[in-house]
Amino acid sequence: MRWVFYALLLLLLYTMQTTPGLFGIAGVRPALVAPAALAIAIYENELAGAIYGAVAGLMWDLSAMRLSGFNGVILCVLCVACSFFFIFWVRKTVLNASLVCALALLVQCGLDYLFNFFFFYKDSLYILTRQLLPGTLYTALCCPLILLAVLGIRRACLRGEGT
Amino acid sequence: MKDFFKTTRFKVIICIVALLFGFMIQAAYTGTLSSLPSKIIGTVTAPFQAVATTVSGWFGGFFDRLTLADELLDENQELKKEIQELRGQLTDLDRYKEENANYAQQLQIQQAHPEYKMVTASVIGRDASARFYAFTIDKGTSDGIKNQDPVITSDGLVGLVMEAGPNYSTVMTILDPAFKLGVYTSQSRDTGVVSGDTALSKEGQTKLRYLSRTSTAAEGDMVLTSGMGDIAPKDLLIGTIKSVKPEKNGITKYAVLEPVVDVSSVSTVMVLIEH
Repeated sequence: MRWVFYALLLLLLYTMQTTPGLFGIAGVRPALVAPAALAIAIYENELAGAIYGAVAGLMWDLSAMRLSGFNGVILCVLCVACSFFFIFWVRKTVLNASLVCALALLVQCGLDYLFNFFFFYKDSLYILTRQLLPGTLYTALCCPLILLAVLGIRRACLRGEGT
Repeated sequence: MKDFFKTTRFKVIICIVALLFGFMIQAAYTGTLSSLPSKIIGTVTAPFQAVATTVSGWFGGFFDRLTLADELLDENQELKKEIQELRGQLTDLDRYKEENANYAQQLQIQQAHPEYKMVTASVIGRDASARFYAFTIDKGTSDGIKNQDPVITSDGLVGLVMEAGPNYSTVMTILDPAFKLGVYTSQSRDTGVVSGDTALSKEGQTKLRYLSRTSTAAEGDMVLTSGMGDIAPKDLLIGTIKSVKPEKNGITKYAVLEPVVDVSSVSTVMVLIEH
């Protein structure tokens, strides 16, 4: 049942992410589906993370006009990596998860800039500094809230299932 | 961890990644950006985006109000009294006004160009990481929209439809370097190509390229579509020239254009499905 709630959360965050004028600060807005997928990967397992990461990435590709599958592949791999990171090396706390999410978002930002702007446009550095990095920073600041939302859904559903 | 590579989960993950690469190859091969799963996602999420945009419009830029709090507070105090008296009459007025404005825009264009067939659409999605202010509208192939259809307002050209799904479309704006359209200048009748520029797009401006070295185009000239290539009809206004400079190659000139439409904030557009 929590998988359905995760999907609804993704849908809600995608809608919030793409609604014009919502959460904008000086023209910068967060990309909310990415931390949601990363949070699911961290608190569930690598397969769930891969699936939700792929779906979140496809959604993000659609709204950001990237080649379909680009962010899907990146988020899928990052979600699996984050999941393993917390299984084998790091304790699952909200602080650790927030920091790892922020790092993953930076990696995604770098790859996005490299493959969508650096190779194709000259004078593209301003896009990195004025659009992509501020958006990534804003998204990283939203990570704790989204992590807590995912954690809340997980705990509520597990309590409801009596486990 | 080594054992993980022998598990079924690992194989499933590899299949998912391979599928995603397949979508990328398919999208690149067809010359579009989206694949079938993306179109499905777009079709499912478009109604939610439309509702969210409407609700968001009611609350009207909450975060902007925070940054302009002082000015707005003073203005708000004065207006509150007046609004209380008018509140009873305003329940549906905003919606009717917007609808009327949309129809008036459409009528104005239709009267000037009876051969145009247009579809009015609302902007329902703007992603923070969308390139060069690209946006999503709430109409698609089921309304007759197809790729490369011009997107306009009563003021002028906004861009071209980049992707058309069943009930949504994504629009590439005139600020995008991938946008290319034949144009001419109003005064000197010089021809050129409007195409976005990454450096100019941060100022909300675009570029008119390939002006001849002897061009007499000057600041203040209007730039209109030439109709070449049959992408957009002739005489759609794009912008006005701010400055004319020689290209680095010395063979041609270019002009910096100020668009007539603010593509970063447009909320209602019309798509020319026949022209």
